[in-house]
Amino acid sequence: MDKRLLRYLPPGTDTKAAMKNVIIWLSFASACNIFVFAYRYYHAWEDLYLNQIYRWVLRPDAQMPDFSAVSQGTLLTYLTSLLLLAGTALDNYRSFHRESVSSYVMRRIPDAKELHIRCLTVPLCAATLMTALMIALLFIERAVYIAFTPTGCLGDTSIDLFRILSMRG
Amino acid sequence: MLEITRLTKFYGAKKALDNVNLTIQPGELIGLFGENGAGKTTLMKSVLGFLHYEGGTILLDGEPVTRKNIGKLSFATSEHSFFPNLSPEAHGEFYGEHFQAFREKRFHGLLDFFQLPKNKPVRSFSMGQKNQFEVIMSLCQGADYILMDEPFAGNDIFNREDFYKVLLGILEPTETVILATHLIEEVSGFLSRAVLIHEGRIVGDVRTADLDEQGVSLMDYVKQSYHYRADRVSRALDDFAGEPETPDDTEETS
Repeated sequence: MDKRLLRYLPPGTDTKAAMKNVIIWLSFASACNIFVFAYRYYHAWEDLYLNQIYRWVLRPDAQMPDFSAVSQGTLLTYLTSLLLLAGTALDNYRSFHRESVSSYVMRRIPDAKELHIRCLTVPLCAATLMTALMIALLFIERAVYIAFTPTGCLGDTSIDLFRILSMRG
Repeated sequence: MLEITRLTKFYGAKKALDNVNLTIQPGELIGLFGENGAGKTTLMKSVLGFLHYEGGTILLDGEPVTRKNIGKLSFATSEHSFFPNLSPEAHGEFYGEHFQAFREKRFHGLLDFFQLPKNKPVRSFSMGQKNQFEVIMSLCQGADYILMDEPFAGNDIFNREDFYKVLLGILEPTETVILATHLIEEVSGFLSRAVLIHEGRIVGDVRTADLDEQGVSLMDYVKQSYHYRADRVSRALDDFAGEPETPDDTEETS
């Protein structure tokens, strides 16, 4: 695995550290996404009820905010991670000018794509994986929204990405 | 054959190469001499396609230098172009994978000869070892034209002597070396041709065999081509000595 992965990273890169970084980013972005959704959903759900000491009573006019409103902010760490991955790709290019000018060797290699393959493959794969993960989380969270919101109180369940990404409440 | 015709390169308004014409035949061992900033490195980097040039053509065996034929050129530079985190062994694997004509036997032979650690990252090497490794890689890539730009800067004299001997011993008749260096006297013994560059222009181009016939040393030829004034230093020293040393001295004399 290490050997195969080496072909997709600048020569001499610590593959284990690179993989660890990708896993940390994926985990961090997912954890933040889940935390933000859980926090916002719980507070929206709580507002549906009159909180009395021993029991929860549903308000007569109770209405859950739309799913896209509840999900606002869940993709912020995802966007940050995408920026970090873009930075990683740039840093991969810069690594060919660090301590030596190994870009001179890369520019003599008959295959012109080699440099870009080594700089872009891992960040692009990580970005794709992260996007897939965020889409999956979005659908799971939508399912949770539908399942745990009392019938009759559901807001709009459609996924409005612009609204989710917007910072306005 | 490497043919450079009317090569012109500017850095801003400054002309770094001015109408350079040079034809290099396979098997030649060429010394490229010139003062700092004369254009040696610019010429090499233009040949390698690392620099954009404004005018002229560079043909490698009749074709422009592209990705298709750039493997025929290798480059050793004092800036170093190895991968610092890779070991020599890993460099060998990388070169073997990407350069069809990589000379594996020569590579291992040279690593053994210079006693370079095979499994340590090159970044941990001393400056001298790094220079050796840089040159080894350029000699082993399997290139027909080996360009070296001040490759021995920082190596001791014994080390350099070893390298010159190795160079002469291992090169095949078709391999061409273009060596840019200031160490004129050291390399004069094994060069077949000397090219002098000054302010971006070729000011001298001579076969060392012709110089031998005329009984002129390469150093004398270089000095002559550069119009070197041997009395320059003594004159300058006389001028310095004649200058008043302190303002008080000036007042006294006036």
